[in-house]
Amino acid sequence: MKRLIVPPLLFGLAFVVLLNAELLEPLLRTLFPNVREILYARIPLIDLFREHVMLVLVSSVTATVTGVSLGVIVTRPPGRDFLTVVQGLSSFAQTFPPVAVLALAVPAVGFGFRPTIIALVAYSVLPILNNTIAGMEAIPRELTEASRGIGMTPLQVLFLSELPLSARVIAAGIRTSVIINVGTATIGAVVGAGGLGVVIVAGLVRDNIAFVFSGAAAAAVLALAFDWLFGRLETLFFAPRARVSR
Amino acid sequence: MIEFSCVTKHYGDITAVDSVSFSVEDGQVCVLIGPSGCGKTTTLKMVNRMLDASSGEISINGRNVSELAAEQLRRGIGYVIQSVGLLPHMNVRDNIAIVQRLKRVDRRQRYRRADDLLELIGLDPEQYRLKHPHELSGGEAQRIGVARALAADPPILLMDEPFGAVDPLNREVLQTEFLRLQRALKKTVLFVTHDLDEAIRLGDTIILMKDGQIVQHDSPERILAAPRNQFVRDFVGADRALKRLSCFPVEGYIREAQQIADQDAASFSNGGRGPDSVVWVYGADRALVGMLQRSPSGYKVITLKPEEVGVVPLSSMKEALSRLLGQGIRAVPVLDQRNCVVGEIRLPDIEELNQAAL
Ligand SMILES: Nc1ncnc2c1ncn2[C@@H]1O[C@H](COP(=O)(O)OP(=O)(O)OP(=O)(O)O)[C@@H](O)[C@H]1O
Ligand SMILES: [Mg+2]
Repeated sequence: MKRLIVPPLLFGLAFVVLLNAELLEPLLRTLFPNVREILYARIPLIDLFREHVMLVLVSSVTATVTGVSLGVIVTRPPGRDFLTVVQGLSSFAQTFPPVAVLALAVPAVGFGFRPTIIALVAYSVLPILNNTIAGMEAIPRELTEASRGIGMTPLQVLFLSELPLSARVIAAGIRTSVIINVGTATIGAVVGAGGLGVVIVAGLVRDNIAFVFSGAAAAAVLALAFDWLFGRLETLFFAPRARVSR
Repeated sequence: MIEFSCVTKHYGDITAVDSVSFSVEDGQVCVLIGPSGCGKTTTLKMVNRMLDASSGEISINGRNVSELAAEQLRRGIGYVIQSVGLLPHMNVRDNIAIVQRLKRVDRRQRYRRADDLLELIGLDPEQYRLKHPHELSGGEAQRIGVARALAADPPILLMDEPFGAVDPLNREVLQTEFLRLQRALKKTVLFVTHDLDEAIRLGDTIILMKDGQIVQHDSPERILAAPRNQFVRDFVGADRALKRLSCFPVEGYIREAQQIADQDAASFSNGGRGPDSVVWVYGADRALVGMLQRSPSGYKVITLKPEEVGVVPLSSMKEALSRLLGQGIRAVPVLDQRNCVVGEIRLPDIEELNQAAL
């Protein structure tokens, strides 16, 4: 019960602070007594926060759709030849720094939201793809065989057996990649996509550690909130099944 | 009717099934048996097109299966496999109802049917319908697997070692249950097993296979009495007289039994019964609780567990014999579903049946 009440209270409190950033002033003043301009005043923190959430949602949904579809395709008999290629590509995408992807994407699609989304998706698709593949491969052959045997079409086998059976593992992949995205989305500020990165970048440029701190803290709280939310959703959807898979 | 004519299946260079022809009449159980790798599973899977034949023709009621859409075909054929294959994320009721869901039968009707089937296989719907597969014992899961196969009331059942993963005692129970169901439902069944006793007990006909070919297709009695060649003789083994007992359900050999209520047992005196007679003792609800045994000081009651000593009318004579020998008693009680004694099987009758074979 405590786990159900305390976190929402804390996140609610954090949200109130976001709406009224001046509440932070006393805290920041004690932390950073030498900084003169303690609050980032150009854009309200809540707007940046909203942009940040948008970046995360759009990129995560795209990465989920891409990762799950790719994972499903390469575990079908016709797509199996591409399994290693796709896995290799997405691993490569993750070793590629998002900033470098930004640098390459800007000339192609211009500044702003779009190159940031490309960089985020490229960076976060791997956990989802890997987990989708792992989840599919872990399903016992007899189960898909039995599903076929009772007359399911290939699509029904996918939606009635395979996806429900691997949902837990896939969800874990999505959770990881959303958390990654919350952090990585701060680089969007560099190409004008907004988000909490704006405060951090401003802090770095003007050598204002209080800015850097408030931007990073806000992003951290957002990451924690998403993580908590996913945890709740998982227990909600998979609790009965947790007993199933023991 | 299922008909195979000259059906062959190649896997690359391997010929798994080699020009096989046979047919299974409506309402009959045909058992495929043979050494591992002889092509039993392959033969079975070609019927519902889990595999397609390389050549030859398989037809069901005169229609070539290759003309039907595979999924449609499969929804009309019950399929039971050793690993059961219940979907772990669905409860028992949804698992049983899945074929009807694929056929778009409405939910109310599906669930009603699932409950009926649970009753039919002897599991209480109240208790079982919402359980998940991991909460079932192996035997229960296997029963649910059979219920799922029966849900859409298909005329044909394919069963691939359905009781193979169950311990011997439970296997006998499941076989008895199968015989009971089959009597009521009269499906056309193609049944794969490794277990000769099972084949003899359940099969109307047995097909013995070797290296993808049929060695002998006959009634169980004929396979035992007239093995076609050395391979069949070896496969059947030296104790074929004993195995033959599996062909006969005890229901044809039931003798009247003497029984007495437990409160009367104490005052019992031997009322001129012959030396071979056994007197069964029943308790409050007429269920068997023991038997009366002579001792130097008169008679005393020996407690018996019904499920350990008793057989049911569909048990085989072989089971009766093994109970008899195992318990060291002169007769085995035949029990109904509430463990009431309906009669007994006596050793001389088993011996006589055995003599007839030789
Ligand atoms: N998918 C496959 N690819 C290649 N060979 C196969 C395949 N499936 C089966 N075989 C071969 O075909 C032959 C028949 O196999 P099948 O599974 O029908 O045997 P079975 O009689 O059911 O054996 P068991 O009693 O062990 O289940 C075997 O030699 C087996 O190795
Ligand atoms: Mg097999």
